Amino acid sequence: MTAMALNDLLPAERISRSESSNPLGNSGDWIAQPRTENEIADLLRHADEKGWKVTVTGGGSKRGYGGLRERYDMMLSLADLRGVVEHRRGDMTVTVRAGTPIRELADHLAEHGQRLPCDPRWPGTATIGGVVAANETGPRRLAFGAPRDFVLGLRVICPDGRILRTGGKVVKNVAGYDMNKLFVGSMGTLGVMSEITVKLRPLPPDQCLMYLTFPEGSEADIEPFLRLLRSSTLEPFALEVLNPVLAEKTAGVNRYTLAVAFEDRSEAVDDQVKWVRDHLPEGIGMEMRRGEEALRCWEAWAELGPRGPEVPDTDSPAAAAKIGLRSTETVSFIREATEKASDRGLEVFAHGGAGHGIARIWLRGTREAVLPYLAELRSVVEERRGFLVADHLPFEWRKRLDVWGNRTIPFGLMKRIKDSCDPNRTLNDQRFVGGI
Amino acid sequence: MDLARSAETPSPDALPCADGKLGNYLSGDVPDENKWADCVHCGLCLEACPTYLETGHEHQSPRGRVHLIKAVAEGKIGLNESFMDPVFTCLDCRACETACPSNVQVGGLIEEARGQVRRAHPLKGWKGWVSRFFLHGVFPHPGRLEMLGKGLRLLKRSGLSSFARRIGLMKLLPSQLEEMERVTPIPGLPVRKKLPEVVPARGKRKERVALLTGCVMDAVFGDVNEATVRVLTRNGYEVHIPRSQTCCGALHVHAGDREAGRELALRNMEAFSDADHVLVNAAGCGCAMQEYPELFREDPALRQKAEAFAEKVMDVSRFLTRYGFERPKGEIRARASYHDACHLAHGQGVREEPRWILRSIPGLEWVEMANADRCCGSAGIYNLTHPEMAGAVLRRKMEDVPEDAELIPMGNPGCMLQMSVGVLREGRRSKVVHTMELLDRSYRIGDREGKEASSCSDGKSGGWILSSGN
Amino acid sequence: MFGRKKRRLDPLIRQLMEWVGETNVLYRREDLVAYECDGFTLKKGEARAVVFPADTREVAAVVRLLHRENVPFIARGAGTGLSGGATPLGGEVIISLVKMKKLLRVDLDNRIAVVQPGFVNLKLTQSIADRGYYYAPDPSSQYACTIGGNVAENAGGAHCLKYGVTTNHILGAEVVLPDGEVIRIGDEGIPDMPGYDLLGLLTGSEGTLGIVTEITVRILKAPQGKQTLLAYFDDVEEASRAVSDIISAGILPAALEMMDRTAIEAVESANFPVGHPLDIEALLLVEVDGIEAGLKSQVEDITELCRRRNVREVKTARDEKEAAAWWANRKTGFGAMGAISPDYLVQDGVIPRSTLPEVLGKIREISRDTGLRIANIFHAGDGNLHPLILFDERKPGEKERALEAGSRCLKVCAEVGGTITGEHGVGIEKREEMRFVFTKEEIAAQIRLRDVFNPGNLLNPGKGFPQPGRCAEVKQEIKERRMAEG
Repeated sequence: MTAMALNDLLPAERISRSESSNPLGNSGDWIAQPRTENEIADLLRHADEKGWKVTVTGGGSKRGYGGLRERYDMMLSLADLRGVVEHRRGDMTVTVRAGTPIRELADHLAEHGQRLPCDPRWPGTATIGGVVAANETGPRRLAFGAPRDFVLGLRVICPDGRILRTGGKVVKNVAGYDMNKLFVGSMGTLGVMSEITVKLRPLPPDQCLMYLTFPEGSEADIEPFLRLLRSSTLEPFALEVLNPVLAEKTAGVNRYTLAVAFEDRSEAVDDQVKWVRDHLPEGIGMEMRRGEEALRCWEAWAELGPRGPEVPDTDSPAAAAKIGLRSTETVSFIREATEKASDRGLEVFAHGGAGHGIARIWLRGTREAVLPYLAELRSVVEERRGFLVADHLPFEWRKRLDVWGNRTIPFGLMKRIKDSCDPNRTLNDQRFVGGI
Repeated sequence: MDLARSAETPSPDALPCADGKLGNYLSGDVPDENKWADCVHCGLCLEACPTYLETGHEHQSPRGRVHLIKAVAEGKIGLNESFMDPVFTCLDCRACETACPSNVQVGGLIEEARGQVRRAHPLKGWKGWVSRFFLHGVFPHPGRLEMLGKGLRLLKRSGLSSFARRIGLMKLLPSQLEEMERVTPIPGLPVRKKLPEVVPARGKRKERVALLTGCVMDAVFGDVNEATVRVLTRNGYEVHIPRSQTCCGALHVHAGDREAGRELALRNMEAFSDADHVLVNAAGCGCAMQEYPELFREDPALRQKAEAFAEKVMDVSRFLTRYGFERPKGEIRARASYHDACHLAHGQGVREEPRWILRSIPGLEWVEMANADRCCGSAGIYNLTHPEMAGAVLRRKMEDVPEDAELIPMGNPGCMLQMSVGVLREGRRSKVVHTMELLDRSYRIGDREGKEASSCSDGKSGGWILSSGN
Repeated sequence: MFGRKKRRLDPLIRQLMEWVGETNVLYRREDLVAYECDGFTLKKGEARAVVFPADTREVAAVVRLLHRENVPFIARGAGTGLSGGATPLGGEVIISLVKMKKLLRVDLDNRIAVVQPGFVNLKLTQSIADRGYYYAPDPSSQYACTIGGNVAENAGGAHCLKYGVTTNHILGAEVVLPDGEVIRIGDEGIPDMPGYDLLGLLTGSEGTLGIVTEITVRILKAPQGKQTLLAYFDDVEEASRAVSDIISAGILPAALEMMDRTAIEAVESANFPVGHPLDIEALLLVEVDGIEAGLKSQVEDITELCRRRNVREVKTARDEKEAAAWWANRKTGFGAMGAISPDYLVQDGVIPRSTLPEVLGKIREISRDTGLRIANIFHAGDGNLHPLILFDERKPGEKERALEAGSRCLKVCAEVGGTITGEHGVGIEKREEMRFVFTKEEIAAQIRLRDVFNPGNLLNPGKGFPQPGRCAEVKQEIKERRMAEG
């Protein structure tokens, strides 16, 4: 395809040839920045007909997440497709364009006392489209759920240029198949989302974040305390176990730490804080951030791990992984990950949700050090029927470590889904599990 | 089972939709269309139905049965054996009526449908024999019932039954009958024989009541009747035991013999015509008598009479809590778990009254039974006609009976027999008793202790009287 | 057993019997009649047989056989569905899962439970309540409906305002695909397994994509405190505005239900009356739950918001028993219609909450136009309406008018930006109304997805999507039946 052909579809200033590459891969020979759904449809239809391979990007924070192609023929950037389409405040729903950064949306909603129930990493960079495509969640998933739970409707452009609506704008809907689920978490391999309608929640009247630090030697107290907490009637919004290096960055203490958050009316927050104080084993340190302070902690936390668009340090690039386990295994996993890293002379940042079972780790190091470490962790996790997805790796490394892991999944069915939606494999080819 | 049709009964399959009839039903006493019109097919009854829980079959559920009854009326299916099976497998426990949001009278519909089936297909074989023997040969004849009781008494007292059991003679009986024999107590004398027609109240007479002595109750559990009379008289009620009373007809109606049911109903309405209150201590009988109007729905005059009669019929536990009873003082140190007889709880809405009475007994430790109002599988002579289903239902029931219950009180003789079989089968040590027996025992213990203490004067009744609405 | 001459059995029936045993296959006409419809009674069809498999292996074997013989089949639970999803259209083999009703495993610490599909919804909560846990999705049919059926329909309930619907609580499943292949999705209840969200697609697919034979669900800790309020209004519009006010104030009740005058008349004359005044126009049943300390001020706020909307009376349940009675009264509301009308048709449209007053007004218009009473019992908090159209099937023409009124209600919902079904599913009932919310192309895309799972369309055929030329067929059929019924 030539620039001429593309120029028919998009004004010249929004389409450019790109020679530059990124060690994270997933680059495009052409970079197109459509502003409307129809432009996307034209571009896709064109690409599909010509047999081009297209990758989709928003803020680029997930550039290192999956993908066995260093370059695509075209990178479709949705960064210009942003803004709120319709915010129905009384209905607590909002329809927003896919390229809208999470923070931009959050700021808008906050003015009306509402919020998106989602706390992903890098909210200033990450867009709602990317977060939904990756079904990304943060520590407060425990109370918020995941994008699969709050997405109500989508507008999706199929590889052949057809525009589909899935779901709707109301909070309950079982008309037809739940087609939203086809696209949420599908890593952009089935269609390009242009508009997303989500369910909102009210901003909490009050909130707090407690850091409970367990002195060296008392790590064994964490799990029993968690069990007590989990079997109580408390309603924590987050229940994260942090390893010492991460705790140092967030809570300022180099110890295994439990981050417990509550959001509710002030009386209810007080009541829960009191419960924690009353039940805390002896010798455990406690620090509390309340209100705005808690909010700032969350914001800082969201910006700790590696991020996509930045060109990584070539000597010692960053790697990150998302791990899924039974929630009762989170503490032992975080400790194991930390110890196994230190055995290898690596320093890993790790935290895991003791209420929802999703853990995250990130570290820096050479390929020779990091990849065997991740592989070892993966085998530990998979033995417990969990998974480890390496959601941030340099492109070259991804060729050596399967991003998605070795768990047996109904792959045949998934491949048939891909073939049905994107028969020419135009979209995000090889970006997803099993080379889909 | 063989269903050869006799010459005089027309095959409904072959009947065309003639005039004056509803679908494939025989004319006269057809199931009431309005009763099934109430059913909206929501399915909330399913989990309440013991036979659905056992089979998982829709046609063995209340909703399914109502649907089938309607389907015959619509001419979709015939009045044949495949219709008969679900209609007769129903335990008539009425649990579905409690669960039903729109008050569908499933029990009434089932009984009407059974009446149709029986008219079309008179019973043959073992079931026919059992049915005829009990329904026509025994129950309507107090004399024969007494004979049966006497025989039983003799058998038990003489040790003949244990001898017979030892030599394996009892094995000749179907196993469910043999078990039934084993759990049957040595029957006391029937009160109709033992007590005068009018038993005066102790102290000042508060009310006059008539007692239905029942067939099984009087023949097998005569002691319970005696206890009931003692409880009533001590509380100031004069008890009348009309000699002309007869079987209530519940079993006949359950079995589809509505004609016999009507006959017995008329006899009882006559026998009890003078009574202000007709008290019953057998749930099944009480429920059936309250439903006499159903039997006469095609005869307005009789129906009205039956309605007036039904108004007077009351379970003895409800009567006592409504009109007052003396708080028992004798301690009974035992763990008790009450079983709701279907025809008390679902049939008459009597749930709390027996509990109030029992919980007023000092020393009784109360353990609430899970699913206390789930059928035990007795259901009249169901345990004889459907032994497998009855056994399965009983098994499930026994799972809910607390292992450590020493007493299992209830208010129905059928349940008492069936639950005793359950206790036997499971090798439990619990004792099955009637609510009135326990109350009577507590009174008697209290009296004895009172005498020993020889302090209190006799005249004063024990202050705490439950009144209705409490 | 009935001495009937051993009939020549349909060879398929014999083969089914070989897999599941003779007593686990129903095939006689009289036995099948009970299976001619589910909770939606306006359309009936005759199945070829009903089979009762005991485990996954038997389900898979039966499905493989039917797939090989090219015989259509349906999975069925308790048959309490309200859109005809489990109703045969004619000739299908019904695979009843009611004998697969075990609770396989409970892991309280990880808050999961593993059940077989025939396990009854309410039983799950009952089995774990003594330890302080419960299963959140609570459709009104929860006394009888199965969790397998809940997955198929993506069942909702009164408490999904705060806690979400079935799809938010299903973490894993074992599924028999329409060709008999058995797959497992999700494991140990661990979320986010790599790959497409097959579980999300299956949930709510109305039994057309696969048959679930084992389900891992999320269980929750019962809330520390709970307050239940009843608010009686003399004006429907004021009541609906109060609903919006409560939500807009940032209060997230666990449930926020509404009943109108006709509905109140029904529940009060049925089996579970609680003494609502009969002269009010609407009532709100509100439940807030959570940390005890935070409830008092929420109750006060709600009461105040209702006052501002001229509520006649607000009362708080004295104890759990009273709250339970209020809920039993509400949850048996549909069935209670039997007490005031021989038949009813329930609709299930969803609207943006803020359009509630407008839509209720339009429903009243429809009631006037068709001359049929319409009761409303619904989940006001999430805008999920349940207009109950009362009619008498025995009166000529009423059923058709009821169907028309139902369809018009859905049209209204679609027009204000809502949808045609929030929790009951499309089934047979709303196949045509799918066109109110989806374009031809969007429906085609969904059918393509079905073809991925169910290429031969043998599993529950004819459900969920508009049938070509169906409208005319239905009218013809109704006419024929009426004539046949004479």
